[in-house]
Amino acid sequence: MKELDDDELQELLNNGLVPDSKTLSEEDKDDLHAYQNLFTALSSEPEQGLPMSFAANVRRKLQEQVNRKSDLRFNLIALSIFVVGLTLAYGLLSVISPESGDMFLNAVISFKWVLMTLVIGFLAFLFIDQRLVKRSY
Amino acid sequence: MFNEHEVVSRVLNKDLRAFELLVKQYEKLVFFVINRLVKDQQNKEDICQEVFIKIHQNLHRFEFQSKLSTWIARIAYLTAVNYLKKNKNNSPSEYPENIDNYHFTDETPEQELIKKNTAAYVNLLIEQMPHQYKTVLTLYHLNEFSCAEIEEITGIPEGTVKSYLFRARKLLKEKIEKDLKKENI
Repeated sequence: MKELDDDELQELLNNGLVPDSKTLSEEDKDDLHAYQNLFTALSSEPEQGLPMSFAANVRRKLQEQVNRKSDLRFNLIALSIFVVGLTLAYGLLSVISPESGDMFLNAVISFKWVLMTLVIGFLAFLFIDQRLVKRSY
Repeated sequence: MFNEHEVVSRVLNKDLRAFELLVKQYEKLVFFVINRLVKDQQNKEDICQEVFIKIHQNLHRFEFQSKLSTWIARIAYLTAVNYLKKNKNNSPSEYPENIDNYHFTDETPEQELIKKNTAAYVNLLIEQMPHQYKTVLTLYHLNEFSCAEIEEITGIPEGTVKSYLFRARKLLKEKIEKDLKKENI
C-alpha cells in the first residue's frame, strides 16, 4: 500500500533524506526511484554553453563603450579650446588695440564659413580616426 | 578564490580585468536562466552580454544587502522576461492563462527520438512548460538557490515558488512514467 504521497517524497529528496527502501512499499519504491532520476536529470547542466571567449568578449564590448565616451569628451574639449582660443584672441587684441580687435572680429565674421568648415573637417577627421583605428586590449 | 567584495570594489574603480573575473564567475548562472527562458539559440549569447553590461552599469547600486549571485540572477531573470514580452507575438503559448491546469500536449516525433536520454528528454519537456515553472526549476535545481532567494529574484511569493516546484516535478514525473508504461506495452 502506498504510504508516502508525491509531496512527502519530494520533501524527503529536497532535504537529502533517502528513506530506507526496506521500509517502503513497492509503489513508494517506484515513485522514489522515479523522483531520484528526475532530480538527477534536473540538476544536469545543458550540453551547450557560452563560448570560452565570452568573458573577454564582454570586456571588449565594455572597453569600446568606455573609449567611445572618452573620444566624445576629447572631441568636445577640442571644440571648446578652439572657441575659447578665438574669444581669448579677440579679448586680448581688444585690450591691446581696440581697432585690431574689431579687425579680428570682422575677419572671423567674413571667414565664418571657412572657419566652420575647418572645425567640422577637424572633428570629422578625429571621429573617423577614432572609428578606424583598431585598438588592441 | 573569488572575493566578491574585492572584485566589486575593483570594478567600481574602473578595473575591467576585475569585471572579466566577475563575468567568468557568474556566466553559467546567467546562461542557465537565459537558456531556459529564451528559445532562440542565436539570441542567447547576445542577451547574456546585455545582462553583464547592465550589471556593469548598475554595480554601484549593489549594496551587499543580498548575495551578489541573487542580484545578478534577478537582472538575468528580468532581462529574459522583458525579452519574452517584446517577442510575445512570436511565442503566443508562453503565458498560458491558468498554469495550475497545465498539462503536456501530445508527443512530437522529436520527443520520441529524444526519450532515451532522460536528461535531454526532461529538458525538452521543461521547454514546453509555462515560464514560471521553467524559472523555479532552473533556479532551484541548476543554480541551487533556496525558495526564499527565488522569491527575491523573481518576486513570486515563497509559498507559490514551493507549489510551482512540487507541481512541476510531479507533472514531469507522471509524464515520464506514462511514457515508460507506453513503451513497455
